[in-house]
Amino acid sequence: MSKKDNKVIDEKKLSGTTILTGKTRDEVAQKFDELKASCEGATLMAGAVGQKADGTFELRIDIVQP
Amino acid sequence: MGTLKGQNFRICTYDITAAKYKVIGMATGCTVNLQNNTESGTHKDVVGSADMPVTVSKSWSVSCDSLNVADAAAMLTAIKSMEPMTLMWDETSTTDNQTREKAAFARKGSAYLNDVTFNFNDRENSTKSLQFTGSGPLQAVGSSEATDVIALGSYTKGQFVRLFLSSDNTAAPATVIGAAKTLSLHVSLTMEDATTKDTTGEWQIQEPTGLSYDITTGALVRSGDTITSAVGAKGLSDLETIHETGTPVKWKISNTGGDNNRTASSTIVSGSCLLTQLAINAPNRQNADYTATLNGYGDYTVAA
Repeated sequence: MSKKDNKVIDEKKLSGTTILTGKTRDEVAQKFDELKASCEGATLMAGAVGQKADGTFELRIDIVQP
Repeated sequence: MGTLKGQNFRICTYDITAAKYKVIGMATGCTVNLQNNTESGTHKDVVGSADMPVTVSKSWSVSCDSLNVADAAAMLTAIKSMEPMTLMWDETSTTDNQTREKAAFARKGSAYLNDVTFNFNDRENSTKSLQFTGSGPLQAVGSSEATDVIALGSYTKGQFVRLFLSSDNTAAPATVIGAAKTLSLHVSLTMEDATTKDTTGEWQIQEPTGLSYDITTGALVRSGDTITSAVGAKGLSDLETIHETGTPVKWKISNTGGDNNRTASSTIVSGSCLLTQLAINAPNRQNADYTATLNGYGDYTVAA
């Protein structure tokens, strides 16, 4: 698994559970696309995008390494 | 000593990595059922008419409802794994509703997650219902066992999680159900009593033997069914065609955004299914709608 782009891995790690956050739903979707591209070979399992009390969005991703 | 409020009676699962228990987040209710399974013990030597039940085994189960669907992938993976997990219930602190208070009634035991239902309904917070079947004995919980406080979760509005279908079992499921109102995914394990004479104690041993799932979606019927060609979504006529063909199609449930909330982003779960029932409802002076029930065809895949 490679890690090409650090900007989407702000408080995250490339194994276990990762939470992608963003101010908009589209921003979270874009971060997901970037994470997926950077995790070549790994299986990414996504939950449902949720909106937190402060209005921001988050997406839980469980990463399974091959 | 006052009456315990429901928010301070929490179901927890054991996190092996953290070596701590964690509450089922955003829970809205839970039920614990402790069962003494009985047989009639009455016989001719007993005087009187009333029955005298005798306990022959014990079993237990837990159900819990929650507003947290962020962990949908984890739950769908957990039930598919058919592996037992450790459950606990206890009174929790009123300061965070999560830290255990080590009540005398706290119990723990091994259980299978045997039933999961997700509801993604339009303009509603999505929900999750979990059912666990205990396997083996319940035990009192030691004072050293700790809970890990989890962060506040997030809400998922149902219109942003949608069902996509293909027209056959080869093409990718790229087309959303148009004008949809409801979506429900239900996964269930068949559990069998695996208790034998070798089993010590009265507690039943339960083991999973098979998995099944179904998807139910409801949508409004558009006049003339022009929605299909005009805006790129499956309508009633498409579902009728799938029904008439009578063979499996591919499906996925994805997070969505964009125009009409129809642009798929990360996929939560996908697979193949067979449309088993299509019910069209047209009550007088009300919107006509339909409900489609799709039964899982082979394993589902949890991959984004």
